[in-house]
Amino acid sequence: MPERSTYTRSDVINAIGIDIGGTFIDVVLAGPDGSRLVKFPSTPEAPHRGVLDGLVQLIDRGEIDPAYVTGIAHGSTVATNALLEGTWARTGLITTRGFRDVLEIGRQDRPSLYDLSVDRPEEIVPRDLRFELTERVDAEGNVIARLDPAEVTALIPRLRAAGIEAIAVVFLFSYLNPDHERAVGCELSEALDLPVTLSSDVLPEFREYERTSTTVVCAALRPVIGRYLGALEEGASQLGLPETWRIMQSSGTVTDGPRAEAEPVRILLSGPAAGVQGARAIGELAGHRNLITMDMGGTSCDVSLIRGGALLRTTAGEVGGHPVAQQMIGIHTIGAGGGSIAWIDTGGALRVGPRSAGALPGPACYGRGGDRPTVTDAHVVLGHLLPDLPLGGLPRLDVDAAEAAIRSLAEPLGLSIDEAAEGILEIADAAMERAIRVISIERGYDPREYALLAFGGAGPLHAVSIARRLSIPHVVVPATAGVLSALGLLVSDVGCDVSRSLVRRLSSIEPKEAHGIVTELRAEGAEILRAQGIEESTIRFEVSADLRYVGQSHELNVPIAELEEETLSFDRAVEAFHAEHETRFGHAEPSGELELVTLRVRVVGPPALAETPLFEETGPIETRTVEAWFAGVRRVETRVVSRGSLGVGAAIEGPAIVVGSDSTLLVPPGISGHSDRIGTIHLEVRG
Amino acid sequence: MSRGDTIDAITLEVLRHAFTAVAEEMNANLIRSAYSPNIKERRDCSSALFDAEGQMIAQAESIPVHLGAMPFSVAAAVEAVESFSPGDVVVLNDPYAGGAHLPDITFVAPVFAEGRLIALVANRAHHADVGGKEPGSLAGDTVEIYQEGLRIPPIRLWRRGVVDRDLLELVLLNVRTSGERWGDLRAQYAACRTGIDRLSEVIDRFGLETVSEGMGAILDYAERRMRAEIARIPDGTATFDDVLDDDGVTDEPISIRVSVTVDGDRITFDFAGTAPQVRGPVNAVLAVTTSATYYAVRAMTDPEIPPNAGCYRPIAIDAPLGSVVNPEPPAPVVGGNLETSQRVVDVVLGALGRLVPERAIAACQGSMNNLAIGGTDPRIDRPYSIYETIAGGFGARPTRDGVDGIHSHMTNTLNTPIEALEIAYPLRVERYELRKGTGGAGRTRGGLGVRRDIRSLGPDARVSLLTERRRQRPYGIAGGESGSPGENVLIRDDEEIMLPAKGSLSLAYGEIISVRTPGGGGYGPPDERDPEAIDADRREERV
Repeated sequence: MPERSTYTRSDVINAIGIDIGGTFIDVVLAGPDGSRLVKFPSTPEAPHRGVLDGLVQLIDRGEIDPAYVTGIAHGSTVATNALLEGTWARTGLITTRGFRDVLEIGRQDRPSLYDLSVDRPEEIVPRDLRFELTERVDAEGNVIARLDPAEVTALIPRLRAAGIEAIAVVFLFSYLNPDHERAVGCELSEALDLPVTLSSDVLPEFREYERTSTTVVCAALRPVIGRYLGALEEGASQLGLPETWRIMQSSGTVTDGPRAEAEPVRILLSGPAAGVQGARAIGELAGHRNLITMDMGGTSCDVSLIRGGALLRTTAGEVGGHPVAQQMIGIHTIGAGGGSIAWIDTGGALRVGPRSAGALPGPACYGRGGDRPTVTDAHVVLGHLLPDLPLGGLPRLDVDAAEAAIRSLAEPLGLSIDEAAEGILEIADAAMERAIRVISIERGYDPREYALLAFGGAGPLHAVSIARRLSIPHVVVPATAGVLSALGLLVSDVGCDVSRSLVRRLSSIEPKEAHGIVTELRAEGAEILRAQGIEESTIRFEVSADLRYVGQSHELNVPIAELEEETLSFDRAVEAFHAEHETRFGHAEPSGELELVTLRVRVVGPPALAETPLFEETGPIETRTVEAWFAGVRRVETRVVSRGSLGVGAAIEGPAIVVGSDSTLLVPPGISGHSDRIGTIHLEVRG
Repeated sequence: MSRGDTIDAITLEVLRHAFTAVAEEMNANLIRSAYSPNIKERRDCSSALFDAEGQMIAQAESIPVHLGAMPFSVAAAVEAVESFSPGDVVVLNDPYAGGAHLPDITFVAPVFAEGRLIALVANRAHHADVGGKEPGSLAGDTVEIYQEGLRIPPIRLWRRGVVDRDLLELVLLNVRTSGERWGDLRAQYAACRTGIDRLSEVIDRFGLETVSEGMGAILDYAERRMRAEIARIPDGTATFDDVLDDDGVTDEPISIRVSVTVDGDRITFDFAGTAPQVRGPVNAVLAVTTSATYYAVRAMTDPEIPPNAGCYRPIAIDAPLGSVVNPEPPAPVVGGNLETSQRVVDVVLGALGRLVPERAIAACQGSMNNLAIGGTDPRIDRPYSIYETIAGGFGARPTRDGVDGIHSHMTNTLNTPIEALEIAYPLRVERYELRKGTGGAGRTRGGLGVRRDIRSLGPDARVSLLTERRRQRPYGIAGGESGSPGENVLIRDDEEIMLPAKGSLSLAYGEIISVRTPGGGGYGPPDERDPEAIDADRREERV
């Protein structure tokens, strides 16, 4: 395998990608001559500690030399966890008089139609910390009620007395006229030693509730992320490592620490976004630019779609029930994972999930006291997971315990243990099939035109079965299935997204005016990247607009490169809009009048690594065969293959179980494929 | 022996996913390809799969008011069409022949396999206008259904895949925004195609026999789960009464009464004693009364039971013909769907709560607070019209306060963002806030109502109000107090003028319509309230 190589000296490592998961911290060490993966236990109670401990070990072991490390990229769940667990900072909100409850009323809908015990998510800003000021801007940006400086001054002692750590300011129509927000921001920043977050800075876009929620989330996370990144920076600096890290944002681009601290609302989907970016990079090397990614772990399965090499993004995201209108990778999550528990409901149907055995006690086969049958136990019983090649750092899997757990279901259903286990897998697959249908078929994308890229500990076990259900012709399983997130950190562009809402009829906007706004946005974005040390000549811009037909309330984002060129026409953008409307919604109205809702500019610079690093797959050499069960053919003699032993172009014929260091790939009878030059396995799926 | 006996526990669950996917993908395609914001944004639509006999197998809905109503549509379509051909699509909206109120237009299409009819797919969407005396087809003061808009009996608008142009032109000529209507009708047609294609794929994968048997098994399965739930409710009979404020034409309260009887694993709702049908538009056709009852049962039992015909087998509903919950033509009905449905829920939940006090809930706000404003936009000299529903207080629960300012029960549609509203219309929102002290006191407190003040910036806007609980308060239970009633107020030169619950008025430039929605009822004696909760309410100015 001449293309692959492994570094041997620490002085060639100059880029480090660090992704924190629930159990492990995955660290990718990369340099021009090769890369490798290292794992450390994560420390959820103090996330920065595990990271710094790991770096100390790497230095002590001589695996890295701080003097040669030029960049560290990091994906973190700290912001997400703070939001999910309610450990945000005590935050005050200042609004236009008459509107302090916009944050609470939201869009006035309830999250569940029939649940009479429904409650809203815990409020980030309780009502007594929401303050109103007299001021008003109208829908054209004109001030119709002036801000009263005396009211602002009078507010200061009340804010001081409230014992808050952060302040958010959101006034109506501030995206058109930010003067009042800025005046309040200035005054409060001077008077109080607190971070003040303005909605016109974080999200200068219309729809006041989404803007308020986004701004409040941002403000409430600033102290939390500031402390966390501060600890990492200080620790890194003491170790002689670069102290400014790059942080993965929800949009799939990375930014630097100071900006992540200032606007932590942009890093909420840090980890999953890195995973999808890693998948995109591996998919491109495998020759697939249309990908459905499936990341199946212990408790959940994340699916996402990449079309023509581009990640599908949304601005209509929410985390923990709090809307966050920021560019985010579109990820759909369902509660189906290796630990999902199978059970029989009151109507006599076999169900799988959403409850999970988690890591403790874990599936029955972990031998840690779990006795409920799980998806992982079904795989053990059917011979897909080998007891002596276990998972999660266990010495050995307990086959008897798995069988006993499955038997508890099989008996009341009148099935054999194997049949019950097969049923569990079939039902888990049905749920994942539904998830993929939601992100593909329901959005107008045909899965038959995609390849399924499966990763996560359990993804490759289910990949072929799911591809068959959806008639997806190709399955791609990366060699580095377990570390795509850490890898994604290093191959993602540096970037930022800037935008401004107009919400005006296109016919009333001079292209010159739009060009002027785009020019300002470009300058704003370029300055953000320059401040992160990105060279001017490497900065690229992607200009787009959210357009809609007048009278509609949903927008489509279409690229409008012409506004960069000062072409005095919207013709191409309009044409692109009608075409996209036809593709997405099945119809268009070429004579319909359009509204320009928001102008967007994505500003990007080069990733830490120009080329996707390659990995050496390790693991024991396997020559044995086992009796494994496959749907339709029952038990058959099945070859066990170790990934590390597969050469370039090595053929793979099902039935086979391909074991790697962090996941197991199931190749049913009749399925064949090969391994490519970087160790990615390609399978062709028929019927 | 039931049909489903050969379907095992695994196939059952796999088919449940498959049938649900058919309904959900149909609905997703309808939302995706719809033209008007009412379907696309507010998602006022639903889709369902039926077996060849018209039994509902799976449903995807985003608002509960469609829940039990679709089977009526399919039954009416099957009755009207003697023999379906592939590609036929039946369209209807007549509340007296399978509909609910005129703006809801329902499509029903057959699915054939191996040359025979094996299933039906259906979808329903709320159209922004179907003609009638007021824009939006939601007038609050009609006295006959003929004033409410175009009535469409079950007709084949498509025959063998070809649209009947004559009928289509008749329909489009009778609505105000024909271009938008045709766009939404096409979306509904496309959704039928999606449903047919998806079910055909399911048949290809599992085989016709398994799918047919599976449909029976799914019904039996849901029935078993619902029976198990009902069996957990103690046997007995309980009665509950409440009233509607008025019918918009006369001023009399209208009594709604239900008597629920649980007998083992069966449950019966008898609306005997409910007022006769009324002149104004608050009559609820049986499909609406059924939806509201099913909603209440689902909410009080296990909402995860698949919403299909089997789930409803153990539920019987007796509603006297000619009453306000089962009127005869030509009574007007538009508000039956919007307001009376909420009161039906209140009495059904009230009665059920007497049988299972530990799951009881105090009354929610009990209105959708329908507000329509129309006029001329002086900025562009064009007519405009906007329709909103407004949130209010949720009822208190045994261990939780009612949620403040949220939609409850039969609706769940979104508000219009203030910034979107002010850009699109000559209106300015002056306040949007919770109404302090409107939640009924109790051990747990009722949710707060909402105040939304809208100023007209155009000449002579017309305002229509179709609201409830302006006189009769949302009830408290177990010693809890009632929530505050709502108020509709015209603010003219800082003077507040009280308005009726239902009706129309003109709004001059600069005048404000202020809708103040009801609070939810409280639960349990107020003196048992946790002092910490009392402190929090005071600190947060909720009381």
